Amino acid sequence: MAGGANPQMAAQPNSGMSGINYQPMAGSGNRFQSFAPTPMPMSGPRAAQSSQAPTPSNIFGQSAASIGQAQRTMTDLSQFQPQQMQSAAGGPVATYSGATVQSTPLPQAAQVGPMQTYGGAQVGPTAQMNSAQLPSAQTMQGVGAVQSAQAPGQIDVDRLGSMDVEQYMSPYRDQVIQAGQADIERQRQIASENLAGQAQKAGAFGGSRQAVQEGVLAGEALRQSAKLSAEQRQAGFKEAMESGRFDIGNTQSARTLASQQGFQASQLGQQAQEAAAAREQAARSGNMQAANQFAAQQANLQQQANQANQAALNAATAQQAGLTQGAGLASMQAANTGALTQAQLTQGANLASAAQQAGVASQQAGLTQGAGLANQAALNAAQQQQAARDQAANMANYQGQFTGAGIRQGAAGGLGALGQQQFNMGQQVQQQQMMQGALQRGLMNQLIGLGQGGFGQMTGAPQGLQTFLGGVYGAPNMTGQSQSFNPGLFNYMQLGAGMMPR
Amino acid sequence: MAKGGTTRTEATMPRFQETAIQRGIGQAGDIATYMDTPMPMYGVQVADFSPMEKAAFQGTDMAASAFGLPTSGGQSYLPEAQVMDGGIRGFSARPMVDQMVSQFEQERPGQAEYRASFGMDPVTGEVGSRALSNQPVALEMQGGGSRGK
Repeated sequence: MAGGANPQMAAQPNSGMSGINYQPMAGSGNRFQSFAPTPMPMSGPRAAQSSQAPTPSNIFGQSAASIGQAQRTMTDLSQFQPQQMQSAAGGPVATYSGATVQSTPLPQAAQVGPMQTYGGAQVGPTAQMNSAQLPSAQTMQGVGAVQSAQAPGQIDVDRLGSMDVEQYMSPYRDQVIQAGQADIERQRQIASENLAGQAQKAGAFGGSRQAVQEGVLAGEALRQSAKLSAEQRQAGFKEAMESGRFDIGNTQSARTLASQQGFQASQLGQQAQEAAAAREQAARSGNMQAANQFAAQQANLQQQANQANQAALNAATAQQAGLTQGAGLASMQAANTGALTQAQLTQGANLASAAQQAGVASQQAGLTQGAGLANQAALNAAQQQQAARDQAANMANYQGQFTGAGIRQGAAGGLGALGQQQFNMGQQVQQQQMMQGALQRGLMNQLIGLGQGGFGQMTGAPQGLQTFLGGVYGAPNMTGQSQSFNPGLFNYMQLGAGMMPR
Repeated sequence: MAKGGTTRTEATMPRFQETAIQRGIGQAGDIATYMDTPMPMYGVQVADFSPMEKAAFQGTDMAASAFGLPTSGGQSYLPEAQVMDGGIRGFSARPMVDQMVSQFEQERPGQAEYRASFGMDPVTGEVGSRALSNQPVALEMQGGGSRGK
């Protein structure tokens, strides 16, 4: 393990340590030097992915790599499986199937030819009786309704309001009016000449009076002319109206008479048509009764013809069945006879074939049995040899399994010991960390205690007075003491007694 | 005690002794004023870890890292060590004390001033108003001698 150059022990990026990078701390005398941690590989498969990783740089990295390698080796050994030994297979055993007896042709039964069958005589078709056919019955058609009498239409009535009055006016009306107006003008001119003469005589010709008289004369003449025209025209209109009323009355009477005559003619025509329709209806009724009677006769004839046809068909069918039955019986008897003959022939042939095959089979069985016995002996010998080789291979495999189990057991024990060792190492590292941390924390506590003491000294109660009082009370007693003794009588007696001899 | 005689006791003190006591008491007052003047911390109070100890710390981190255990990431718990003349390396609690005293003076200025009046100005040497030096008392002198300064 020197140098730790095993590529499988290279550092793996540990997920728990990937974020920790130690950087140099420049100018710090009490800081640790930077170092690149080498996380221990935690499993074998991950180690296989890091063949290019650098060599562990310190003893801890090398130790971790060695433990990792040991762990992977133990893991591999714990999964050790001995290779199974296969027994050698014996070569194929040659066997002999025995000689084969060649088959000989077997006798075949003669084949009876097909039986001829007779289908029976065929009855010809029966003649169908057809009933006499009559034309179809006539059906009665009802007579249509006759045309009813038409009432006369409304008579036109002429009115004076819509009448042309001018046709009744006198064609000489304007000539009479013009002649009258000419007479009035001539009279006015005569009167005007008289007025001019009178004015001339009076020397007032052309004066205003003459002009006024001329105006009055002209107005009177004009009034007379208009009155004449109006009267003439009024008279003419009145005569025209009377003439028109006369014409209208005559026309209305003629129209009334014509209407009455038309209505009467329409009534007479309706009566004639009804009479004709009655006659037609009677004729059609007679025709319908005759047609119905004829149809009933036709139906009876048809029924009789159908019954005759059905009887003929039944008789033909019965005759045909009898013929077919006889033919079938004859054919069946012929077929049975043929089949019996064929069965007898086949049975004879089969018996001959069976005897021949039995002889061949007996001969073949003897040959096959001899070959089979020889083959069975060879196969038994080969199987016994193969069983011996299998037994030896199985024994070797069992021994290998025991050996593999021992290896796995040892590896499992090694893994357990290794795990315990790793656990102890981790515990030791953590205990070391705990101890060093406690040491640093103790130093910090010491600094804090010193700081608190210094703060108390600087801000606490003054202590100088205690020092002062200590000096005062510690001073020697100011009152010095001297003692003197004056002896009394008893002292002298005691002294004398002491001086006496004993 | 023997009977028949008489014993007489009387206070007596030599003069030189009385004078010495008076001088001592006076000087004790002066010393009390000096003692009541706050004295900051100088130098270092706790020794730094030795290089061997630091190497052990580093080795522990390396061992933990090698086996996938969490590490301290380098020492950052203790303050910066100070190197005194002569190569003495250690830590001082003075920054902490200075901070606490400054906070005390800022939050309780009256109390701080009252406390300072028992000592003297460390720069000018002026004695505080409440120092024993400013509390003169006439001493009863039985003998000769003086306070002596």
